[in-house]
Amino acid sequence: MDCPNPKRSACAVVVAAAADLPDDALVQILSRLPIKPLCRSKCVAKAWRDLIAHPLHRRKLPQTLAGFFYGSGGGGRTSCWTRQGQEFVNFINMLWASARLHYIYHEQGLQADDEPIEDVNGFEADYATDFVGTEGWSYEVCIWVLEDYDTQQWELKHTVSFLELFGKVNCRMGYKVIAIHPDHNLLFLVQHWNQKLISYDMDSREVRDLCTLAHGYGSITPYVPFFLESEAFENKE
Amino acid sequence: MASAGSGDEKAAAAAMITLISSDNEKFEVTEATATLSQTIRHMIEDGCTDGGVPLPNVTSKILARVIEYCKKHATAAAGEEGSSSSFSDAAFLEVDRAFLEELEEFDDAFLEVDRATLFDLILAANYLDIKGLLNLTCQKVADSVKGKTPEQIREMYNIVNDLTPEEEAEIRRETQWAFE
Repeated sequence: MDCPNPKRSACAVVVAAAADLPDDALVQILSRLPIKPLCRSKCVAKAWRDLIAHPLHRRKLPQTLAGFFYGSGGGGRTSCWTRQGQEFVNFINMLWASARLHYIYHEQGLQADDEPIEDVNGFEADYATDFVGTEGWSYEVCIWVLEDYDTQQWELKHTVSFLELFGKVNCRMGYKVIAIHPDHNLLFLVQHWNQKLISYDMDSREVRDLCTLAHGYGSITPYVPFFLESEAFENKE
Repeated sequence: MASAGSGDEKAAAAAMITLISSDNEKFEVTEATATLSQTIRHMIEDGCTDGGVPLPNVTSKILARVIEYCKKHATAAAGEEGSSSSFSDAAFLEVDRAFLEELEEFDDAFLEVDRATLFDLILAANYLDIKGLLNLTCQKVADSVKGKTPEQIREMYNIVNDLTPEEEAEIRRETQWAFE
């Protein structure tokens, strides 16, 4: 309510304050936001942050990567990093800009007749990384994207040197690509020599240490709450 | 003849519902208009609308606007039903499109209200469970929030930031990409 008199407008604003909206009405509004503005909205106030994070509202609000499960695979105990896990907090809820981009992860290099392999998530993996030697014994990680399912056309999206990524020139088998963020140009890798989980931002070229894994981290599974109902999944069909 | 006439009148009267606002104003509406509200629909089905439906959460000012919305959309729905039987497919599509355009114009004009009224409409639509109206009003607020920073949202809707600087920094760190 716009009012030239500051006293009156203060009074009118009390009527129009969003705090007057009950939770379910606020959730109705938030559920109509795309993921990026929704995440920004967490910073507005405690009530907004808590509403957006509350498990009750997952079904209504868009979701993105919230963490990873990890464990030793064969019946070993699986742990979960969630919002509450201390180190993990650093990278949850990063966002991939377009659901049209998909990747295949491939250790040995990409060939035309390679079948997409199953990733730990049980979904068909659709991003590819590959390392190639360059002159002078230095290596690069190449990230390929499947731009179009129908034409099966792959495009080289990004390259980053081992030096930039790991701080050393050669560590051929010493790392593993875990996942690509579903909504953001972010690569997750684990360094086997120090069991560190790191993230690499393809836009800012920033490498970030996320946490050190406990022994027996054999399988690491990305976790998106209610992924089955997310738009990304619908787009895939 | 006279008895049949009074019977018709009775049927017409039975199809009218009285809604009573929080400030005790009475609104007579047709059942078709009233049943856009799921809340009222259930009350009608349960047969507890005799003597009027008290709506203690809705003022007469807001209820009048809500009824205006429901009337328009109930008419559009009825018109669509009627047209489907009496027009060819092409003509039906034409009529259909005209209805939709008219409705859209109505909705746009309907949303030209101040923020306090908009919030009151959301509350009423939520309470009365009127899907279309709730969608319309919530989308309007969502659109106003979409391109804004948290500071701008707070300012726009007079929200007090009760997050500690540490808490805010934490959220910004974990969702850094959303601010880029």
